[in-house]
Amino acid sequence: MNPFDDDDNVNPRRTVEDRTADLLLSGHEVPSEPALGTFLAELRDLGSAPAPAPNMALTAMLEGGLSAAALVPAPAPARNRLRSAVSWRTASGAVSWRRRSWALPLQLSLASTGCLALVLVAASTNQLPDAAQTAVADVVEAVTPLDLPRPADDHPKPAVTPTPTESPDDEDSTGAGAGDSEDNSGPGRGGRGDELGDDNRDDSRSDGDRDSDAGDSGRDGDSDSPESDDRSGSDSSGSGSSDSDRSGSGSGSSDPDRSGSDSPDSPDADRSGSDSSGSGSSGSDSPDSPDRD
Amino acid sequence: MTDAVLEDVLPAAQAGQAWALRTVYDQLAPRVLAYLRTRGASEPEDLTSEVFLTVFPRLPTITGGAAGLRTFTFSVAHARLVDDLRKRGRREPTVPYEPTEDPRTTPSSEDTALLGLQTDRVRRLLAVLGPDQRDVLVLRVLGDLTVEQVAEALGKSEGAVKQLQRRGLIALRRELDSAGDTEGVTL
Repeated sequence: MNPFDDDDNVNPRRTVEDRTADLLLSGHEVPSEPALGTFLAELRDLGSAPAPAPNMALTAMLEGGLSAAALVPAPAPARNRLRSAVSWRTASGAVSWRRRSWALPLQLSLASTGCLALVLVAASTNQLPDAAQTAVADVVEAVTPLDLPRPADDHPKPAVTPTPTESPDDEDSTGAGAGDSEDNSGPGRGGRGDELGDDNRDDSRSDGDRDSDAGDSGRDGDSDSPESDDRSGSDSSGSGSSDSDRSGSGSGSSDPDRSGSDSPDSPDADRSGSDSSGSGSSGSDSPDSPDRD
Repeated sequence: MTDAVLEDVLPAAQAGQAWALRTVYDQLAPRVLAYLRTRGASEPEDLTSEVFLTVFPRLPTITGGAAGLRTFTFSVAHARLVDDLRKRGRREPTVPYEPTEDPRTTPSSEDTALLGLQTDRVRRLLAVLGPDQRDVLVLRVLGDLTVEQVAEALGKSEGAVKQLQRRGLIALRRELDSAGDTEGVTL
């Protein structure tokens, strides 16, 4: 004796197959289920009564019809296509209108997210047009800590500081360089010379070479040039004499013999001119340079 | 109810013509009323009118022909019924303290409404079903809806509807058997 013989879910006599249920519920007679068929027929007869009397509002609607303004307009065809696309993904059209209602916003948000991701990827590889690349980089840098590449011509050219490893011989400037050095004023340059003078002391450097280095602000990316300008401004009181000295001696000439008078840029000049101008122009620089002493 | 009649008048009803609306009402209102009565609505006639006042302005949005119209109409009817039952449920007296130890019982609103059924036999048998089983069976019989349409109207999956109708029929058969209504039938 099987203990599960009396289980409704195991005994096939006690279950109702889906096909049998469909036949019963759709009004067909099923010989094996006469009692259920009789009951369901009685239930169905409840719906065969005449229609109830409508209330006043519905009576007015049934007598007068509905104007176009009272009717809810049918959805646009494009929206219908979207909705049908959504319902196509679900099981056999059994999609409630609530499920469909958020399908369009969801698709729009997914599409916009995808477009944004594409733009960011293109911007990260500098593939966008210059204007767009600059705009995207600005936005990303403002919103996030990330830095996106910018178009090449959009880079502000950083100022050049004379690095000791650079060969000044490559930039042989004469008068122009001297003129620039005058503009940049001596004390700042003197300070720079003090900083660099320890390791790179090249007596053969001409004034023009040094000055051209200083004047060529776009040569490398060192940001010390503005600092030197600032220093030149702040040390104006003490550097006035050195400027005048250099203007008289170092302008327009790359004569190495005159390097001593171009004290700010040349370490030697710093040392030689320390008594007169270099040390006075930037007091903070002098302790850094042991050569000054 | 013949779907052919509904198919014929549906375009005119969607245009708001009075005669078509009347035809739709005559075809669907008796079954909507029976559904609401069977499920225990407090004022089934008024609720039937409310259902069609909601359905008619939305006729232009209905797709799927007569089947779509029936599905939408019974979806609205079910929503109105749920609102009505909730409204009445809030008015029922409650027994907040230790209900298991309190001998008093309060009949539910659905049970109370079932007492007003025209057929005592139908009322007694439907009372043994759960609310979901009752919904599924009544919508399938009175609304003439398919499993898919019932699932859409109730917001359930097709598998859940099939399971509910199967269990409902088994419960009905068991009740018929115990009541002696199945003479000559071997279960």
